[in-house]
Amino acid sequence: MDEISYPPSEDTYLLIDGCRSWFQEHGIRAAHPRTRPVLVLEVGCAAAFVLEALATDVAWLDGPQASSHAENCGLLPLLPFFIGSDVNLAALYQAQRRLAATLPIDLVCGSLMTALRADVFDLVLFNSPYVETSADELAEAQRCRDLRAAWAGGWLGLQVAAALIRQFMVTPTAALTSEHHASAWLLLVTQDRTWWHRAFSNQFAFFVKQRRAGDERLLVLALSRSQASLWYKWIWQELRAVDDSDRMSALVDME
Amino acid sequence: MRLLTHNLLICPVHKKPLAIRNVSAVDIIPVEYQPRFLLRMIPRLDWSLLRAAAVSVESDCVDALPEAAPSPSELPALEKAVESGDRLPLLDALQRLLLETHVVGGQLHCEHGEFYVIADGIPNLLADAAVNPSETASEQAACTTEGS
Ligand SMILES: [Zn+2]
Repeated sequence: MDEISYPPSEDTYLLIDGCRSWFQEHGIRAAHPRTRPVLVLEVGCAAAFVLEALATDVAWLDGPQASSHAENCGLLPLLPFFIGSDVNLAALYQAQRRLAATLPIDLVCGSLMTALRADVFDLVLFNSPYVETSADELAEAQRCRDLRAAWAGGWLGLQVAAALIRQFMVTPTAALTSEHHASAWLLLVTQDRTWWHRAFSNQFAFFVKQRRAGDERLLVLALSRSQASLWYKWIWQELRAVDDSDRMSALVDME
Repeated sequence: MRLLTHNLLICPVHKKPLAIRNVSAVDIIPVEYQPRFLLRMIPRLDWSLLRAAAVSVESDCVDALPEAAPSPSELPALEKAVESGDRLPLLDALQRLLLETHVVGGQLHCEHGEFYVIADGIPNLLADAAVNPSETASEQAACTTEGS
């Protein structure tokens, strides 16, 4: 097999499972059709295995209660639309050849959310590169946009995730807020670090799922828009408190 | 790339919407009718961008699009019509344009002059994949402060 992208692995399945259990809670609680997620973005989708799984099995999106409610009312189905973005163009073409053209999935080559309106998505998924690397290694991976970009995470394996959280924080426009759109969420797969557990106890993020994969302990967590900006302020203060100007400037550079 | 996705794209450098030009191939791929999804999309759309895109791909749905998007106060009436099974020309046009019209080959032009290529249905919006036809370096330098 050619090495254009990685095959699905434990973290891929963890993101799929994390989505499902997250929706069990939020999809059903938001049973009104107007608040159900309809626009989903996966950042760093590579060969789009997560999107394929979600788009071909959308029963979980409504949940049993919502579905029977919809049927009772004679409502039409409400399927979400998925966009996948990645810096690896070859992996996107590989996905496109595999996916049926009728699936509600479009693919875009771009870096994080830099080429997308950040205010329109109900849900953003990111299996973030969480392996701790030096700044040079991260820069090299991002320059070459090869397989290394899928795992090189910079300091604490957090640098790329932090950049996406920053992009996700934007304020939605008035029209979107009035459409009950204030509740956008970011679902992140990352390494299980004490850092994140401190974020949970501060309510800057919600715990979704945890899994051991070989030597690694992985975590799925969810952040609302307002949590994302609280989290970002917090990490900034933490870095300032220890006077870590290198990492502070790295945070700014990633934008 | 469907026209729905096009409506959500921005130039990675200047954060501006992108105009579709020099279209070489368009596919129409019918899918199941999604009126409730389309109603949810209306408040999120850049309506004038959608109208311009419909013209660029020479869609025959252009005439079914009103000058302006339905306002939030008009949406409940549309919702009601959909739930009672009415087929609305506006939603038929949005179904065709947003969900069934795929730009397979073409270019995405930023108002600052550079463009991005759509090849085999996938747009390349990496900042360093931008094509600068006239290399207006002074203009580029002036715009780096505009990002959000
Ligand atoms: Zn531009």
